[in-house]
Amino acid sequence: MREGVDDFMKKKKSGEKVFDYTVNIILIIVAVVCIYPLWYVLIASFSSPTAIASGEVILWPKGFTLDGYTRVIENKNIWIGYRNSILYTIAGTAVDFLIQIPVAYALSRKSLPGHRIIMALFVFTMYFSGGIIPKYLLLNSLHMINSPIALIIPSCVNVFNIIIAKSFFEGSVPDSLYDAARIDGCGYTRFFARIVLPLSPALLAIIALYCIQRHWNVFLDAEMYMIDSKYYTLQQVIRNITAKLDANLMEVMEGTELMRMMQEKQLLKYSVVVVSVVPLVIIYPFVQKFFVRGVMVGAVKG
Amino acid sequence: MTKKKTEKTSTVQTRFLKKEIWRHRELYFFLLPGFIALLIFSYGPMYGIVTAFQDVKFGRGYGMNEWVGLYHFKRFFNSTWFETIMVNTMSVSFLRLIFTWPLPIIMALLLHNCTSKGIKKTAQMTSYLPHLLSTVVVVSIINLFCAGDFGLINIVLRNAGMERISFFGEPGLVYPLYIISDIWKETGYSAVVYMGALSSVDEELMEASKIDGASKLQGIWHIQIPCIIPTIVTMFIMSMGNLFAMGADKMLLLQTDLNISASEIVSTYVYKVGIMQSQYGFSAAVGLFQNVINVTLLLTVNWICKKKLDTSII
Repeated sequence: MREGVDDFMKKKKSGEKVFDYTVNIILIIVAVVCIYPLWYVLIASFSSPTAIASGEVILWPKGFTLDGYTRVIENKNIWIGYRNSILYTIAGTAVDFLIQIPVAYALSRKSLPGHRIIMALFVFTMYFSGGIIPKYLLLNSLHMINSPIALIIPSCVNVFNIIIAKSFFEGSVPDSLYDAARIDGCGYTRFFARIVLPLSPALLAIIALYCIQRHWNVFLDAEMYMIDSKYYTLQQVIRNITAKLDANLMEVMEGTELMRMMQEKQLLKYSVVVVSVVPLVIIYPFVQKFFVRGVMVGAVKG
Repeated sequence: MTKKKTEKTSTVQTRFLKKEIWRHRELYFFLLPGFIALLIFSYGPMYGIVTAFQDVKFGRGYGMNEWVGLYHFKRFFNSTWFETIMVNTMSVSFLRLIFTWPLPIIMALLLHNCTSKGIKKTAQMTSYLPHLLSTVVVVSIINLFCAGDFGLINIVLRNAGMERISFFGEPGLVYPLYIISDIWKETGYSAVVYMGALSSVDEELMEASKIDGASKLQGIWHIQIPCIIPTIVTMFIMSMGNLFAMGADKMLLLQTDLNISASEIVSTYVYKVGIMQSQYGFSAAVGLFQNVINVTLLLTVNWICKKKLDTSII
């Protein structure tokens, strides 16, 4: 009898072990699948074009070269795109902050008359919008087309961010705190600037991260609103270099000279992708935990 | 007598309300810029929906356009593209739903039940990373891997002595490209929500089930999954609401002349007809059509879930 139980427990334990190993192995595969494409782009950008074309580049760079990067540096459009994207991102994030944080704080106060209706007006736009064409026509009649303002101001009301910030304030800034401050003669504005904001660095980091990511990555809006190449964002420039398929060129391709050209172009594409991703990857380790926290705060309210 | 009394209370109430509003005046100033921006940039375009019923001439106000009724809608329904576009949009939507909705749940369960801290951390770190990338970069990577003779996959195939695949020439292949890259980009990040839900599952329940002789798999199936059902339903409603709201950008970037019969979806069509061909009225009508379907779908699913599962988002 006793032996039977022991046997059962042993089996159980080995079953448990198999389970643990399977989970570990799957997760390792997932991690590799997630990182390998990026790793490959990185090593390919340092490898000689012929090594890439022959499939020798697998785990480490082969035939180390910086040609791709010299060509990136020589490319004026990339620098213009970089500069524009940085400017739009800084200005856009600043505007987003000035608009979204105060709105979220005001709406998080349950005593504010009408906060429910106003919130509903905000949330409604998450589910229903006029569509891209009416928006385009509107911006056109406001003379914002082909002007950087179109990428900085019109997207300043992000309801998702407002919901996150609102539920944060609801949870971490109790009304009693304001009541105490009010007795000392402190108004809402001063209370907000002196007490609420210093209390919420984590929230500010989350919102900043979301805003920066959105402004840095925006593509279709930029494609619609920015016509002059001097206003192009980095994403547009990358797209012009990498995403346009050289289908026609491929068809007529013959001769080693053209072949070499194509290979070098491929190298430039790898380098461009690396260059555009670098800023985000540099900040990633620092913001990763905020990233997760943001989702948690947002998920509470759904 | 009673009437007078109610009048009196109502005046007291208005007085109180006025006082409350005055007390919160500063907060209304907090709201003001955001509210104005909301009216202009979110509700303004909604007023612009009238263009869907008008013959739009550029540079004229909405009031000066000629009304054409449902002309644009009829033209869209009768156009040769209508059927293709609808079929394509639905195919991508459902494929995306089938693959991108359950995978994050599995991912979260895997991470939650992983006993090795190091592996868990590495898997989390690496799987969130693709979420940071822009659509343009993701499509660029797809191109580098798949396009032409110099794409990695075709190089590997050639070295293995196999036929090259024309990823952008075959219409049917655009969906796998779209879906797989979506899975790669979003699974890890979407799992975070479920991880949050799982972390609130009582560990003692799992311990108790273990003592009662349940295996880990049984524990997952009978304890962890039931505990996160509300989150699963919420996320499901959200993804249903976004089912047809796919942005145009990714599809537009994946589109080539050769795969257009599979890659033309409503949003790319709206973009092309509207922005590139300047048929504003027509494309606004198509956009409105898509929008209405979205909202109807969201409300229906929300209503069903409320009735059957007692969970809803609105």
